[in-house]
Amino acid sequence: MRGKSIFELIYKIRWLVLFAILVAVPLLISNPYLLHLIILSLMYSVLAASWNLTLGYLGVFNFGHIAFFAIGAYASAIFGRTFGVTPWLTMFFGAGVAAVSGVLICLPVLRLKGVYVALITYAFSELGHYSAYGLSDLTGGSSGLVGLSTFHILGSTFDRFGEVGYYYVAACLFVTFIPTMWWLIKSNFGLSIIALRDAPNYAISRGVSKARQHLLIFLVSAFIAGIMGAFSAHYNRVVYPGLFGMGYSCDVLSMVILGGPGTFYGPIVAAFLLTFLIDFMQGLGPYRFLISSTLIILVVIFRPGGLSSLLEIVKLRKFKGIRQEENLLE
Amino acid sequence: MNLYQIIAIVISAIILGSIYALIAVGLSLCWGTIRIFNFAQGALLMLSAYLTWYFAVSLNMLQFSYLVVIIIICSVMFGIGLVLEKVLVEPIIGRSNIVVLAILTTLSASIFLQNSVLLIFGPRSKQLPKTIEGVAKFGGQVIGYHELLIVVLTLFILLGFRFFLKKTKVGMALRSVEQNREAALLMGINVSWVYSLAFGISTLMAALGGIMIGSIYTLTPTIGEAPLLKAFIIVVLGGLGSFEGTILACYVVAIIEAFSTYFVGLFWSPIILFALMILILILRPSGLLGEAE
Amino acid sequence: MRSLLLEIQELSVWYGEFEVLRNISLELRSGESIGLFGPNGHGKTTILKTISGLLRPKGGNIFFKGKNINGLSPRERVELGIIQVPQGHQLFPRMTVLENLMLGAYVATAWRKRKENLEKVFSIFPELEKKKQQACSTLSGGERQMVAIGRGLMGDAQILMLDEPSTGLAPKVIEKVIEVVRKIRDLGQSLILVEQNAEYVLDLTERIYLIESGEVVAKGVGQDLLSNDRIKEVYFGRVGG
Repeated sequence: MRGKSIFELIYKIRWLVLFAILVAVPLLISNPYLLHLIILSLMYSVLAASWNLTLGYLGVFNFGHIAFFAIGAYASAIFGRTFGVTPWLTMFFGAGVAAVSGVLICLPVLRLKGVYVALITYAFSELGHYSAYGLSDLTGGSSGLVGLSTFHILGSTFDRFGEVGYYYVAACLFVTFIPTMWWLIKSNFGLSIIALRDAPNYAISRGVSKARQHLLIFLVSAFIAGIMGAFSAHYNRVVYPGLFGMGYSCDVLSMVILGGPGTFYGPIVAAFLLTFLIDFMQGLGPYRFLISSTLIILVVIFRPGGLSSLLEIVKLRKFKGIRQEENLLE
Repeated sequence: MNLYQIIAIVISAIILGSIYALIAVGLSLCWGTIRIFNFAQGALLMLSAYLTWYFAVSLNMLQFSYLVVIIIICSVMFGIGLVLEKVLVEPIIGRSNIVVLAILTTLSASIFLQNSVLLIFGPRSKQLPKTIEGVAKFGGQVIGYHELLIVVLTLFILLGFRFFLKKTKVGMALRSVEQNREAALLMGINVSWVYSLAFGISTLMAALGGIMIGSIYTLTPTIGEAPLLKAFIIVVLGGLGSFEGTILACYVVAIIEAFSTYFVGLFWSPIILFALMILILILRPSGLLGEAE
Repeated sequence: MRSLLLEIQELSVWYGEFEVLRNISLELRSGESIGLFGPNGHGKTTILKTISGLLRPKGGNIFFKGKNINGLSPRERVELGIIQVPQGHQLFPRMTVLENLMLGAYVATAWRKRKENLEKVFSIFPELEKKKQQACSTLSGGERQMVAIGRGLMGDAQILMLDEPSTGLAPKVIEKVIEVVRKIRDLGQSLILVEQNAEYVLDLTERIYLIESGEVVAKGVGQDLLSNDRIKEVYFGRVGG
């Protein structure tokens, strides 16, 4: 047995290290555009991780997750605009509405198998897309809602300080929800999900309730997606129907797939990678959809395990204590 | 609401249902033979319409004959179907979770196609010309010759397809793969080739549907999305894998859509259809007429 | 000495992490009928599947008329005349008797002779001719087995492999099946018969391989094997329950 290496030490206090890095980032980076990309990465990583809960861990063919994000965005925007409430509160309202819709879509999903689930969830997000266009009095139709209110603290908006204020909001959301999802997965509840996925009859005979699991996971993942949607609404200060669209959905889906559904760190890392990559391609405009869609196809065909399966080839596996996670697509 | 209005609605439903039939049969074929769900069907419909526009209008090949253009497009689209099968489907055959993988690849392909078309042709809507101008009038009803042609043509295509399946050797091979894949292998049938054929035919159906839709509605890159969703509802209603059930469901859904559009307007009718789909799936998760999975 | 039609050398087949066939070697001469005998689930069907090309071996070789066929697809093997009548009939349920039989002659070489082969099949199974337009899902178990065998006969086989043709059938039907197999054998068809039932396999084949736990544990001429302790154990073991 080797003595503890420096890497093992870092791994043990990894949460602390991460926290320190997160706090220090805006102090080290002064370029506002770079900070903006990091903010987006944080947002997408939480969103991708929340999608991973249903698609990866629960094993549900959920193709409509982006709708929760968009619903959170729109709900927060509309509520704020109609009642003049601050985004700090409408965020939770948006998340709440998203969570409710999550539970609602979960009900038919429970009854269905395989491809029918994919159909229903896909149809659900397309319906949202359609409604965003159609209910134009409420949603602003195809142009959406612009000039949304943004976060205030002590009377002054965050714009005053460049991106820094938004960064800390995003970082707080990241630090709140990523560990929450981690805890959810690693807890007994999380184990019961994996049990139900891999050995359903046995799990049920031991008292695991499929309905309760599904509802809880859908609730949590929709809530998280919704709150990130609300953040997006008040950070970008705009909502538009494209948030529901398949193109946008594909962008986020590619993060989950590239990262490796059913693995924890994969989608988070992939979100960072792809956000920067896509921005690098941003000058090409709608070409980025071509890239993310091609990426999904390539990953599915050649390396369905995504980044996580690549990491296995790297030294990381030799460290003690890292459990090998089950990957949905392999 | 009087009889005239009812008949008018039914007529428009029949036209719509015919187009849906082509798309739905294609989906059903892919599911029955390959056991995958082709999420790219809508995008292929759109691609075909755009290619037709390009040949017919932009290159002005209409001067030769609309028929020639259609034949060219159909051949091209069939070929594209074969290529897509090799790229999107064949690499994942045999994997245990092929259903979700195929959804991922075909869904991504549809995004790719949609955005490619958007980039190449631009967002402004286009219009495919009709084959025959003018309308027929009878008993107070009006129906365009072009629309009539669509209904008749679809009927021929569906009957022709059925004939192909039942009476030809290749059609028999296709059916056999659908009913018992391993036994088909033991008969010496080239199952991988059957998969390609099924996907190609399915694309061809979408292509024809695309030309029809593009000539009735305005052509945008997203024109395939709504019919695809309706096709989803249709295969849910008719049951995946049942030819007759699917055809029947096409016209039922078209009628429901036509009537609900009349009563509650264009906006609410897809929502009603969606609610219907959920209701059916809750009550009978294997569809109304289809096989139990 | 009759020519060597099929030779299997040290075949090894794995299902994932499990080795289901180990070191399988056997041979079939032209005009010969051999039996694969042994308890259920021990690899007999797996051997047939590998010969038909449905499974790829991890090790070992299969030679057909001296040529290594390891790389050939199932279709190519059927074209060579390696025909299998699989276990549990495996018909095409929503197709008619006639369609099923026709599919048996799908490959080009057999397709040319389909009309005359069909006549042969109907002369062996006249009941089937009466029901030729009936969907197979409406047939009885015995009739289905007859269609399955008939379908195999349509393929103009060089080697006909039958996987447990008697299993699950009523005694009268079994009689018929055995009579048919005997007739085919007497006409010179090279046969591989997989059976759990010792009586049938001893009756119908010249040589037997005893397959247990994925290995050939004994082989020999029927009479010699009768005195073999393993066969007695398996035979009596089954009878004993």
